Amino acid sequence: MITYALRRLLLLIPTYVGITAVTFGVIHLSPGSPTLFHGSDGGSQEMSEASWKRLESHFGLDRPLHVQYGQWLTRSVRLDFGTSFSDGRAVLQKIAEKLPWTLLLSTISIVGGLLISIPIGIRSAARRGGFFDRISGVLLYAMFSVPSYVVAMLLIVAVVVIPIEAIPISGVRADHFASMTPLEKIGDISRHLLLIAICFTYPSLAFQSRFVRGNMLDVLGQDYIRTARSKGLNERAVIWRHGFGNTLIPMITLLGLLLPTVISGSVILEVMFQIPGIGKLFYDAVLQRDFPTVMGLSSLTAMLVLLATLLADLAYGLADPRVRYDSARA
Amino acid sequence: MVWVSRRAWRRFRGDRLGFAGGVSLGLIGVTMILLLPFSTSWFNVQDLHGAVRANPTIAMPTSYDVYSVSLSESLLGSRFVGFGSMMHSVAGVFGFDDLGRSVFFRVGLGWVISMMIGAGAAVMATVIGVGWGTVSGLAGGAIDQLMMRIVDILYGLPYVLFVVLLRVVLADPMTDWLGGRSQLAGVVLVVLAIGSVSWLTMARVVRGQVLSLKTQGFVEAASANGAGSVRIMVRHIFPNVVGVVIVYASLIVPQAILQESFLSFLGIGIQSPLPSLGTLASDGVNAVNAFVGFWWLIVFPCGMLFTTLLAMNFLGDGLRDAFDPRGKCGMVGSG
Repeated sequence: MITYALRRLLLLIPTYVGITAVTFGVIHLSPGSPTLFHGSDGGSQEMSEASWKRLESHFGLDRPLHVQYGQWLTRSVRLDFGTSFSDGRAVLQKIAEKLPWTLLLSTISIVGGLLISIPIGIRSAARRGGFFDRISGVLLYAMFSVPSYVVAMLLIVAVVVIPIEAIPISGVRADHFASMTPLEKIGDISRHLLLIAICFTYPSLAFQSRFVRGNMLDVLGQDYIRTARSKGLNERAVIWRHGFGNTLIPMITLLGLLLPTVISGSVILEVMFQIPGIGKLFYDAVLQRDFPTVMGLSSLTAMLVLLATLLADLAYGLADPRVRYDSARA
Repeated sequence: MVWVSRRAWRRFRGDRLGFAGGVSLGLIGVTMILLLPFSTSWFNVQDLHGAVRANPTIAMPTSYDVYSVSLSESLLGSRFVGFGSMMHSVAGVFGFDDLGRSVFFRVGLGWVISMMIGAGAAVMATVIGVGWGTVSGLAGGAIDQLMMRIVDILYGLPYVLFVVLLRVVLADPMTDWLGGRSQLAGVVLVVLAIGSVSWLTMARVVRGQVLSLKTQGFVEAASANGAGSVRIMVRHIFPNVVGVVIVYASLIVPQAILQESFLSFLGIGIQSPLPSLGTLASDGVNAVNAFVGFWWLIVFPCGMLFTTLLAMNFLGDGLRDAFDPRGKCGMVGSG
């Protein structure tokens, strides 16, 4: 187990280098230079050759690509992602400003999503093919079939037209936020985040509850469930303790899939609700060819994806003694 | 193989939702394909009799109200082509958009384009994913490690970056390659962008399936009989992963269509004037707000997107139940 964990941990290094190197190459080889966005005002004024060169060397873009990548890699190990091309501020600081909102939103949507989808999945597995199973299946798939920006628009229109004045449609805090008591502050932020949290959460409900349902059905078909029933245990204990308890292992996979989405954010929803998040930051950085910001964000995401996969694999072994880490399957 | 699919078909027929999904998808598909000759020639025709941007109203303009023909003709010059009074009523069943184009014909063509994107991504994911997963699973050892780490790396790449750059870098070569048809090139690029991400999951799933098949008796028996690895792959592995592959491919189609709608909302999906269900929905969302109710710009494209995706998801779910080998003892769980 320890050997396996160490070996996997070591394997993270080449994978991380691979991801960042490909990203680095892709963004640097693409047409459109960051200097374009700096020197000329949207292309209205031509820059002289000399100032162009000066700008390139200022950003360190005049060196060979592998040298640039090597320098970036050695700095990134110390978590130094450099300064943004677009406004000259430290990339880490820019990320740190937006990260809390994205983290808050994704935590709400993951926890809320699981709290809703687990009971639905269990209930529909307990009576497979029954009324609840069919109705929830139809409703969840119906929700899954609407793009989130349509739902966002409908929610905004509904709140404005009805009108529900308690629910703000954009921003993260009220104007007089500073003068509020801590309790009021929490209330204010949750009112501001309500609509976007709904839009963040509902698309994943279908997949998650179907996932829980499928695993529950597997477990409920096992012999020990029949034994538990035949010894007269009440249905609730059978379903929750013997049934759900045994689906926790595949749930690790689900969490492993969800974890990387924690910092990805959603550019569309962030723009529609005017919430400062990672999605918008990344999208703008790509369009402006703000290399340091793109690299900083994608390497953070890459680390999180890799760690989540590794943790999920290791947690399997801890949760299920039958899992063995042979070298053949690793 | 034959008996597996026959049993799956029997089970699938018993699943009313899945069956209904398949049937309605088929009906929509036939209608849209019959409409295709009309929608391809009319989707970009502007008829300013129907353009209502100047007069925000709740009422959907379907009637031929005379609205400054001379003005629109002078504005648009020779680009102005009216529908004529007969076509106008057909073109106007879903209303007109802000440029006076028929939403009906745009939805018609948009459906076909969205479906091409979904199908293209699914085919790409299936071909690459099954090949990659099978080879990786069968080879094992260092090759397996290497191939799966490549999948990990691609998984970790930032998707939006990838799509934006794919568009920028490949737009011109692709247009040249397709003989100057830049609109077609745009569609192909979106398919490439979505397909090149969709195959990763397929590869992982197929590899897992192959790993568990590899240890089973009939594969060992085949290799003991002297079958080569290609023969084992084609004769013994492929038939047994077909079920899983069909299920995943059927789920990729709606996901790709939804994915395209997000790309369109960001302006990096299908480019104007070509429509897709995604561009139509996002145009509608941008045109409608709490103060102007051009509801038909939202209701008809989104209704079509919604119906199609719902039917596909039911179909996919039905297929999964039908092909799931555990389904045969599934009724145990119903208590």
